[in-house]
Amino acid sequence: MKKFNICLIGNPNVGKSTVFNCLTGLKQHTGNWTGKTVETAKGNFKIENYFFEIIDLPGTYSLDAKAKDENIACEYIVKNNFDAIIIVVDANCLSRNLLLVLEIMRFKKNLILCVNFIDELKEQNILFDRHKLKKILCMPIVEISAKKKFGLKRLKYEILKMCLGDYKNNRVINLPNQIEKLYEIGDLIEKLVVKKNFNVKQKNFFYGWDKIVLNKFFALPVMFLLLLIIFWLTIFGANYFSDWLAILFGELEILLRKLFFWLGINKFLTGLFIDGIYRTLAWIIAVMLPPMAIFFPLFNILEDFGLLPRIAFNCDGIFKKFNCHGKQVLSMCMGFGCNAAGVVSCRTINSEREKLIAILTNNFTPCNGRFPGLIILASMLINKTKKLFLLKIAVILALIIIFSVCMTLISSKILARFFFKDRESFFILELPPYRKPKIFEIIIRSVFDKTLKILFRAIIIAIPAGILIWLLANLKFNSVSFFNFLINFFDPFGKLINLDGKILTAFFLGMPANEIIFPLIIMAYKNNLTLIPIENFKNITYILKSNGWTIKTILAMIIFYVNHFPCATTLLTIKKETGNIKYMFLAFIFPTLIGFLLCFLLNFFVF
Amino acid sequence: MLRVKLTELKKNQTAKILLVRLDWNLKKRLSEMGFCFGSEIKFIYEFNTTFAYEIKNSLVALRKEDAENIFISF
Repeated sequence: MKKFNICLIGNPNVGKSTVFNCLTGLKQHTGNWTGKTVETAKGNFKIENYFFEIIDLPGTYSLDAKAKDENIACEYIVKNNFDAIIIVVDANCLSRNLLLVLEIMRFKKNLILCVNFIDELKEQNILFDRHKLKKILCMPIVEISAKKKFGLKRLKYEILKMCLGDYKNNRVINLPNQIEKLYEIGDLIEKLVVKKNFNVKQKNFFYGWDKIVLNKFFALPVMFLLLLIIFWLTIFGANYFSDWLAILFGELEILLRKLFFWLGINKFLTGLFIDGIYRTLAWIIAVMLPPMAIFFPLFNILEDFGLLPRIAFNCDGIFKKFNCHGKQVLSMCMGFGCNAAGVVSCRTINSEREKLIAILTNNFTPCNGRFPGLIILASMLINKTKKLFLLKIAVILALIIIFSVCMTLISSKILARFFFKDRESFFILELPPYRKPKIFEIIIRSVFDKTLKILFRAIIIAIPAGILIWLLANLKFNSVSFFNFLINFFDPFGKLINLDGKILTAFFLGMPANEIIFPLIIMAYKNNLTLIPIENFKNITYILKSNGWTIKTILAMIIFYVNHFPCATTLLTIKKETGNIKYMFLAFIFPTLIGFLLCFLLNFFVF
Repeated sequence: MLRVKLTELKKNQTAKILLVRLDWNLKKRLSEMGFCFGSEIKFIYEFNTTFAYEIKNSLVALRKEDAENIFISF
C-alpha cells in the first residue's frame, strides 16, 4: 500500500506541534514560544485505510531564513516532494503569516491552508471569510482550533482528498519575490477576508499580565521569586522521592545478590554487574530522576503560558552588557534541569556569536545532577543543631545560584572578548500572547518526552562508567589498583587548589554523570572497592569531616563543583550542536581552568 | 514627510515604517517579522534598553540600538 508524504509548515508558535499531535496521537511537547520544535518530528497516521507519514518542521517566518532551526525547514521543504503540504497560520496575525504562504505558493503545489486559533477570533467578534480566502488563494482552507480539537475531522478529510488528487487546479503561480510586495498582497488579502465587526472586543492578551511581568520595578524580583519557588519545589519535593527510590534500590540489590548467588555466578561477574553497573545506575537514577520529573513539568507550564520570552525580554538589557543574548537566560534555566538540554535549547538564539557563547557557558549553571551535592556542601557549612537550618541552606543555595549566574556572565564576557570578537549580534524576539497552559497534558508530555529521554541517555552512559569504575578499583598493577594510581597522580594538583587527589579523581571519573561524584569521593576515602550502597547517603557529611575537610575545602569544593568540565553527555551535545570538535574541547578546558584559578585564589583569601 | 526614529515613538502611539537602515542580515530578519515599508507599528512598552512593538498583530521585541536605525513617519 502506498504511503502518502505530507508535511506541516508555518510561522513559529502557530500551533504546528499541536496539530501534529492531534493528527498522530503522538506526544511531542508543545510550548508557547518561538522555536519550540528544533528538529523535525515524524509521525504516522491512518485515514480510511490510507497511510500517511507526516513531518513536523520547525517554524519559519520566510523561506530563506538564517537561524539553524529555521534553515532545516527551508531545506526540507525545497528539496523534498510531498503529496500534501499543510501550512498552519495564526488567524490573529494573518497578514504576516500569509508571507510564508505566498512564498511557498511560488514553487510548491498541493497546499492546504490550516487557519489555527479560529476560536480566539470568534471570541473577539471578528469575522473570517473562509470562502473568499479559498477563492483568492485557490487552495482548500480549513478552520481549526487545535487546542479545542475543533475542525480536525475536516482537516483529515481535506488531506485525504488532496492526496487522492481531487484538487486539480492547485498550481504554482508567479508572484514577485520582494518581501515588501508580498506583504502588500498579504495586507490586501487580510483586508478582504477578515472583517472586524463594530462591536469588536479587544482581547488584550498581550497586556493583561504584562503589567506585572514587565513592570520596571516588579519584573526582576517577581521573576527571581518565581524561579526560587520552582527550585524550592524541585529540591525539597525531590528529596522525598529520592529517599524512597534509594530504599527501593537497596532492597532490589539484596534480591539481585540472592539471585546471582542462586544462579552460581562467579565472584568477578557478580562484582562487575552488581557493584559496578547496578550501583552506578541506582545512584544516577535515584539522584537524577526525581528532581527532573518535578522541574521539567513546572518549567514547561511557564513555557506554555508564554512567560519565558518575557523573561528573556527583561534580561536582555543586563545580558547585553556582558555580550550575551537575552534568550540565554532561557537556556540557562533549562540548564538547571539538565545541561545537555540547555545546550540544545540554545538553538533558538538567532545570532551565531551569542549562540556559541550560550552553548559554551551553559555548564556554569549547576544542573539537577549537581544540586544534591550542593545541598550536602551547603549543609556542611552550617551547624546542624541551630535554628532555621533549612532556611539557611536555602539561602546558601540561592547564593550559589547567584554565584553561578555571575560566573556565566563573566565568562561570557571573557569568551566574547577573546574568542569571538568580530561577529555581529542582534536581538529580535517575538513575544507571544498569554495562553492558558494545558497542565495535565504538559505533565504527561514532559515526563515521557524529556525526562525519560534524558534518563535513557544517562543510563546508556552509566553502564560503561560503572564497568570502568569497578575495573579501575579492582584491577591491580604491582599491587596498586588503577584507582589509587589515579589518586596519587592527581594529588599534587588537588593540594594546590585546596582539594585532594581523591576528590579530583572523583570529578574525573564522575564525568559520565555528575551524580556519582560524591559516592566516588566516599569510595575513595573509605578505601572501598565499590561505590557505597545508596541508602548511606545521609551520613556522608560525617565521613567527609572525619577526612579532614575544612571550611576551605568545602568552599573550594563548591567552586569546583560549579566550575568544572561538563559531563560527557553535555560534551557530546556541544559537539553535535556546534558541529565542531574544537568547541567541545574549549567547553572542556575553559570552565576547568576558571575553576582551578578560583580555587587557587582561595588560598589568598581564606585562612 | 517627516522622518523620525522609531525610538521617538510614545507609548501606544502608531506610525508607519519608512525605512530600515541596518545591515542586510538583520534587515532581512526584521522584514520577515513585518518591519518593512508601510507597515503600521505601535510602541507598547520598554524595559531597560529593550523595546516591544506591536506590528502586524504580533508583539516583537527589539534592542534600542537597532530601533534607532528604523525610521518612521506619522
